[in-house]
Amino acid sequence: MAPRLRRFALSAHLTFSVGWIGAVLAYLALGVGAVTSQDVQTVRAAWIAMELIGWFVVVPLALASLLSGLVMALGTKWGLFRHYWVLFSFALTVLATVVLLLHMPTVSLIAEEAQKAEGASLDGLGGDLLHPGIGLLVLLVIQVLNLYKPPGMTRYGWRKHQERRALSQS
Amino acid sequence: MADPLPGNSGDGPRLGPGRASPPRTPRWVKVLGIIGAVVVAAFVILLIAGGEHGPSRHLPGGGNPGGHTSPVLHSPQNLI
Repeated sequence: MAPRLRRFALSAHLTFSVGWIGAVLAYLALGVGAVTSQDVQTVRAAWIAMELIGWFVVVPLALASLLSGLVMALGTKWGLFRHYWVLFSFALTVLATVVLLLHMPTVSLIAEEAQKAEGASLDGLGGDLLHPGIGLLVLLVIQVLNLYKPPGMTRYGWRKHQERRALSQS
Repeated sequence: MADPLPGNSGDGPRLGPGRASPPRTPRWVKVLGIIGAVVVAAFVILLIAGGEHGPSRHLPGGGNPGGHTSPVLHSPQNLI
């Protein structure tokens, strides 16, 4: 990848990834509001906002982050399967995205229920803290891996490196 | 996958000196792998033992598609 294009792709990837973390934090704040508030309007509004943020902010940012991460890995010397930190980041990003996509229809279902429910049944809807909480933890682990890039080459990466060395020596 | 610019920041791929045997798996990989396996195992056990784990358990139908209770519960006999 040309240096300019690489810089642009990196900027985009960082924006999507950090934006994803920020969106999950906003979602969590709404989830806490839905659990703790006694006000019917607040609980209802929180669930409606959680559905909107989920589908229109969190999901697009997750997919964009996954895609831009793939482009960065495959378009640079790091590769996707050569270094453990890249491999772990990719696996955790795929896991977080899959869980998010499987979870969002339930959020839509509850948001729909919240618009109809009244009083005690609205209180009974509870909140959504487990998924975004664990998701945030996973995203922070990915962030730390990306920043520190702990050393460690996979067997595949080592083999590719040996092949390149042999080619350059011959 | 931030800053994949090996060489620019001095923290590019650390390839180490040319060696004949593959490098050993780093300790952090083993630790993270064990933590991941424990979390997955705990999740599977929770799913098997408790069924619903998400917010859908609060729905009238307990997370069934449609989120409604069984029609049997609404039948006139049950309302008596």
